[in-house]
Amino acid sequence: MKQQAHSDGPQGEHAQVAALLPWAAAGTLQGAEQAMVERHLQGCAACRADLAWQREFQAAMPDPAPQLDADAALARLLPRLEPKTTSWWRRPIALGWLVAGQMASVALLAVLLVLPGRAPMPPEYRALGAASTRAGDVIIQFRSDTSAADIGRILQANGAHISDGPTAQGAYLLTVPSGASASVLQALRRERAVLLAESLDAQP
Amino acid sequence: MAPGAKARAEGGDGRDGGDRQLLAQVAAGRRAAFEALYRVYFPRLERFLGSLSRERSLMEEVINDTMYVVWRKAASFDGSCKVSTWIFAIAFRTAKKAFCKLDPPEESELEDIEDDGAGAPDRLCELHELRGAVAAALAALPAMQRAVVSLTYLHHLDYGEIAQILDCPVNTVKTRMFHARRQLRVLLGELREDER
Repeated sequence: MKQQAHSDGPQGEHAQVAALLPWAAAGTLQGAEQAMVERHLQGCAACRADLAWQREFQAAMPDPAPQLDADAALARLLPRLEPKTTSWWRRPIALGWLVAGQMASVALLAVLLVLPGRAPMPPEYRALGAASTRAGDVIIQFRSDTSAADIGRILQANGAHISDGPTAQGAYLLTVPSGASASVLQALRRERAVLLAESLDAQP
Repeated sequence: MAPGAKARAEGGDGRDGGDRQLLAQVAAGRRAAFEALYRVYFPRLERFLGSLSRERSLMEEVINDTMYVVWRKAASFDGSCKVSTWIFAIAFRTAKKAFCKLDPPEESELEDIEDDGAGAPDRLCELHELRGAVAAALAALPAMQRAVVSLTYLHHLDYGEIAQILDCPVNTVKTRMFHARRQLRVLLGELREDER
């Protein structure tokens, strides 16, 4: 290995290339720098000699065999490794449940807000000969001690059906025979078990 | 092996993809992945740390402290560099703390190089002598220049990666390499002259 002297100063392409030659020798240059070095080498004997020297040096670099025992070292390290304890708010599954819970809360709130005044639902089944009715004509609330038998009797006596409910306040939506809502309302209000009975029509 | 091919084998993008997969599993707490990553990096870190210090007694401790940080901080790897660059940078920081003073240059080792390859074929003898001379010349370099030379020629890292690992500007890497080359040429030249 003989030392080479560069003929020009530290400025310019020659200096840039000279600084990059170690990585050119190691094969880790890329792109424009690699292209510049290759182009410069074609016309610069000093850099070609320098590159040859560095490749020779690289080949002669001692690469000592490992002296440490990796298995034994790993065995000493493993007891130090604590289990991964990701904070609960950072766990994907926890976040998923959090989002699901939040969405459920939003849905419940929407039901509570909308249910008392929402559009009436059609009855699931009607006989062909039955009178025409409109679902959800009346909202009704019974006393808390009213039995199911009494509720059934009151509804049957007035030709009414529960179309939805109960709401969070314990109210039900009733459908009543068409054209009879005013009389049905009066009859329902006379029942001791009825706390509240109101028409959902603008003009009952 | 051609330098380029060796570079790809040691730390190229293909290998980095595998490292990233392992590191992602380590971040999820999988010990088997950690053990695999440990076995890949143990010899590489030993070579790298060997270029920084001759303090063999602390070498395993530094490697294990490095890999312990890898276990704990795997989730913080942001993918902006190669996994190898990230791990080597951790190793360098750990080594700086462990080796209170990185090895100073050795002044006398060149004089200790002797021709103990008598009787061997000339070519092997020359190679043996050359390697001994190069080892002695490397030992005479300041630790940070030795690190740059080692990371460039043995670990096949580009100067940008080396700058990240050693936490210094790119120009500092180039300057250290420039001074290292100049000193190596002088030292090896002196040795050849002494042999004649």
